[in-house]
Amino acid sequence: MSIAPAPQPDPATPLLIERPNKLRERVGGPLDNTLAEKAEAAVQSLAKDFPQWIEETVTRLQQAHTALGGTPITNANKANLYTAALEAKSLGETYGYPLISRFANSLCRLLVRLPAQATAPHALVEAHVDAIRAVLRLPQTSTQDPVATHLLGEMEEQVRRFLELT
Amino acid sequence: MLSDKLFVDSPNNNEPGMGSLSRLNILIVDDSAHIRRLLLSMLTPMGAQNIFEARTLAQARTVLNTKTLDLAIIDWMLDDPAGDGMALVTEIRQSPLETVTYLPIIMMTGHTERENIELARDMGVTEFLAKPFTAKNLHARLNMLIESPRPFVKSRSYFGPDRRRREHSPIEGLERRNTSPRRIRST
Repeated sequence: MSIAPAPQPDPATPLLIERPNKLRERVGGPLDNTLAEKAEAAVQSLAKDFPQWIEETVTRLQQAHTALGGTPITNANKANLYTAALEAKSLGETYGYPLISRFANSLCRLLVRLPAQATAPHALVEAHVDAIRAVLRLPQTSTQDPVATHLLGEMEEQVRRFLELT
Repeated sequence: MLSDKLFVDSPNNNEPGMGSLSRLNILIVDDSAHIRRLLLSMLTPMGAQNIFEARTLAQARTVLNTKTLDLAIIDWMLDDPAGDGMALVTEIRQSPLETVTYLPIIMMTGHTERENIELARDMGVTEFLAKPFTAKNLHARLNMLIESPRPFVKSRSYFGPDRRRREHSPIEGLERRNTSPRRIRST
């Protein structure tokens, strides 16, 4: 009497690999919420450095913009400007400058959604960079400055219209 | 003035214990010294004592090859001509070392468009930390990794954490429709 060979798994079938939860084992359980509060407090202890850090971030954005000179901004050459804008977006709010994050977010949106053959309008890009620099002079946590919020709304609208038309 | 010293263990005064990161070896990869300092300031009160910093892919590889890590926090956009954070994720998932290939990865990114998140998931990222982030955001992501780890999926076209965090539908696309995954338990 012969024994039929055990069926071999089909190599095309995906494998679900369940591994022991070593992270939980090493941590010992969920992190208590008080640890998040302590971490927030620790971040606040760095706040005195934030003005300098955001200044450096905005300077990098300006330098990336200046480096483009009058060259049309396209998908081929936007990388450094986009990286700098993304950094300003990412760090502004963390450093207590939420308006910088919002202006930078608008610039990021313009650059990341730039259609393949399109050129970003220089004036609109420059207006974003200038506005971000200007916001640095506002009180750090201001989100309600009427001029800045009006300007932001205008720029977001211009970005939206540009992307719609191209 | 920020220190650019790399691969240093962070001093920590917290008592090691339950629900603490004190026993973890954590890699932070970010070209921004400010962000690394922010992360250190957030992780240290959570008990982290062994944090290894890298600002380039080469430095990250050195840590990966010399330390047994429990977690990596990687920035997508690295100012490194050798590649970005996603290139490092690919290297990690393709590593022949089991301790590296299954490493939980938190990807920090300002690229929060849906297509970018999907791309990163397809490359094997475990969790996202959208910039701008707070200590509470980081704390929540860490707890997600600790309490709800994703099983890994290996298919012809993908290897990495289950992209759906579901018990019964781990595979997306055609493969999900045509096949049921085989489950294995790995030690």
